[in-house]
Amino acid sequence: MSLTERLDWIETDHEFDVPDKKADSYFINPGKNGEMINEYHFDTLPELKRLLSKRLAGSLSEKEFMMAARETFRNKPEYRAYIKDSLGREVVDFIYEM
Amino acid sequence: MYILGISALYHDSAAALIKDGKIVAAAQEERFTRKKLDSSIPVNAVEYCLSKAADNEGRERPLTGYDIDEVVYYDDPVLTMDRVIKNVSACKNDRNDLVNFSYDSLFSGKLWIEKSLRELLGTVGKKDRLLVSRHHLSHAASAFYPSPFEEAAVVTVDGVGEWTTTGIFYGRENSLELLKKLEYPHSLGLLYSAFTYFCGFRVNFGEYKLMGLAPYGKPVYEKTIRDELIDIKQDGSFRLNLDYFDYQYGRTMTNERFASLFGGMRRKPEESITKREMNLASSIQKVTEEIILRLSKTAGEITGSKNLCLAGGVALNCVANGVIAKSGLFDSVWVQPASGDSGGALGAALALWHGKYAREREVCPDDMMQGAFLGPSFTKEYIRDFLDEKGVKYHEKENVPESIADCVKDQKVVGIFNGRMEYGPRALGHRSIIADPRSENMQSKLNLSIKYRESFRPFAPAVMKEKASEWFDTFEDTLVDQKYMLFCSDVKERFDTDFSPHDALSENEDMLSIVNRKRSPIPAVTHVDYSARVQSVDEKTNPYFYSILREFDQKTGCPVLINTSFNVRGEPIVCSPEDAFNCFMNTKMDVLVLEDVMLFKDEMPESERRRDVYELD
Repeated sequence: MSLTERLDWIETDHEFDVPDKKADSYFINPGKNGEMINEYHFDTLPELKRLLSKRLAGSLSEKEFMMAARETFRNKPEYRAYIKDSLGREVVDFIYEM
Repeated sequence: MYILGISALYHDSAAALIKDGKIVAAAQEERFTRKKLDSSIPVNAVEYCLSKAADNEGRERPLTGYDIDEVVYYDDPVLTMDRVIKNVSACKNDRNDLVNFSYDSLFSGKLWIEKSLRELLGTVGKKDRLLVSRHHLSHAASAFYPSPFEEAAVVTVDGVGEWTTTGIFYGRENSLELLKKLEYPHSLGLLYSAFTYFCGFRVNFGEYKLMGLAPYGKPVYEKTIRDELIDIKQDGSFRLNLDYFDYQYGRTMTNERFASLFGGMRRKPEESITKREMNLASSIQKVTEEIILRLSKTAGEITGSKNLCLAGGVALNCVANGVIAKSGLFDSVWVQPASGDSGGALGAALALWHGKYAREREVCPDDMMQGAFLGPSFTKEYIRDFLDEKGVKYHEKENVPESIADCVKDQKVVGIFNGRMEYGPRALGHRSIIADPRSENMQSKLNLSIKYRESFRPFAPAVMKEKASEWFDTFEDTLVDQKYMLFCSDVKERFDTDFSPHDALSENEDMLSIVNRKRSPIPAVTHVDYSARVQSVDEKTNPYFYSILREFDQKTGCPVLINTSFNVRGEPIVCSPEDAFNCFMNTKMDVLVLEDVMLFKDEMPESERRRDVYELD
């Protein structure tokens, strides 16, 4: 299942009558699971925490926050690699596409 | 090789320690901190596990992080963050409460789990690294690896873990493979919690109350739920209509549209329970049972297995488990006694040992859980010193089980404290309150005077294993070990079977009149629909509790006792003798048994007694 399909509930704005309603099953076949147990490499993400604090204080709009978060992730190749390794696909692309 | 598993920062934190694949110790943090479903880093539970390992090895000092080979967390915080961020984005609004909620639930702790554990342990294992297991793998591993099966289909169902809400796995020897899954926001656990919330109970806390309420109602909303809220496929997969829910936006589970669908606003916690809540409970319970049954059938079909393992919070729904066992779909069914997130600590450790390290698995016919008695115990000397320091009177009895049976026969309510504490939400005879199930008013007495909880809630029976089939319907085609109190079955001898609690109740009527009806020879453990959450007790796994049942049987001809957890409403099950003594003194419990000594309430000093000190849930 593609990332777009995976997030269809988002893209259809929570519409119930999604295209695959006519299918026999809503199950997702996990396909390549990737490693189910991973070493954790995420000890610090101070930038994101700082951005969230600013968002909470109201000094960043939702859009500004998400744009800034996107830049944060773009500058964190180890995070990208971790997600890719963990899921077997680059779901983090969603954030880049926002 | 020591592996420490950790569950924390969602709900019901726990630690579990295994050595070469065998369980050394496991406990929930709430038992030590006395905060129900404590979700903090399980400092005390870890300390206990490390101390227990040291005891086993004859060391004077507890193990440290430098003695542990690997530390594994039961959930992947990065994937959870992925979901949380996308959820914020998907909701396409500018609500600070959602950002607040996301911040609180994730960024304030979960992402920094490695740092927290390093501070706790000094080093995160010998390699100073944290491993993280997928949430549903942790659940599946907690169910399959300790089970008595060489191979099995495994179904995991909960609210949400990272993205996953439902998983079907296949376990064989030491491998465990994910075959199918459903993802957030489509969640059976969240659907059940939405009804829990709407009926005025606390989410992640009151789900078992909703299950207990269901038999009072009729499933009059079942069609509405199917038509409007959920589309269920033949294979058990499903999709929720998110127009009726609010959980994706923040802390609230349901919205105004949901309320309109079911005739008005949600019940507030302090309001009376009406027929509407009873009917809602009955309806969502029926839908839940059908989904779990279909999921299990699908799991059996795609794996070809005749054995089934269940875990995840929804697997604590013992009524649904009973439906699966009755269905005859499987030759055997086994449910992890710590099915909720606490069990994830054990599952993560076992997944690492058998999965990543590919170590062989030893299958034990009785399962590997040691009766779930994996928590702390206290010596007789410790207990005597404590009581001597308190200056309270106690009695040393030669045959404690016989004395307990005499007390219960005399309609006394007895708190028993023995051996290692249970792992998981059920008290199985080591931290239990027991009473006579033959009494018509014992259910309401226990609920209102001892446990301070709602009058409608049923109590579970404990029965000598070899006599269980004389008192309860057994599952004819399916082998089910009921020692963990996780399957409902029906009481055999029933009185007044034409009576309908739903029809008998007028609107807003208190349910005590229904509760106090003599429905069977053991009314205090017979729910209004004649069901019972049976614990069958065998002499090998649970000798102390078994001996009490045997003595009671010899004196009364009844091998059944009420077994309810040793706590009051809103409080965790007692852990230490001090906790047990405090609970005894703060309730109308008549007798307390701490290992081999007995305390009688009428001999206790008035100065020690306090009442109504517990927070109601």
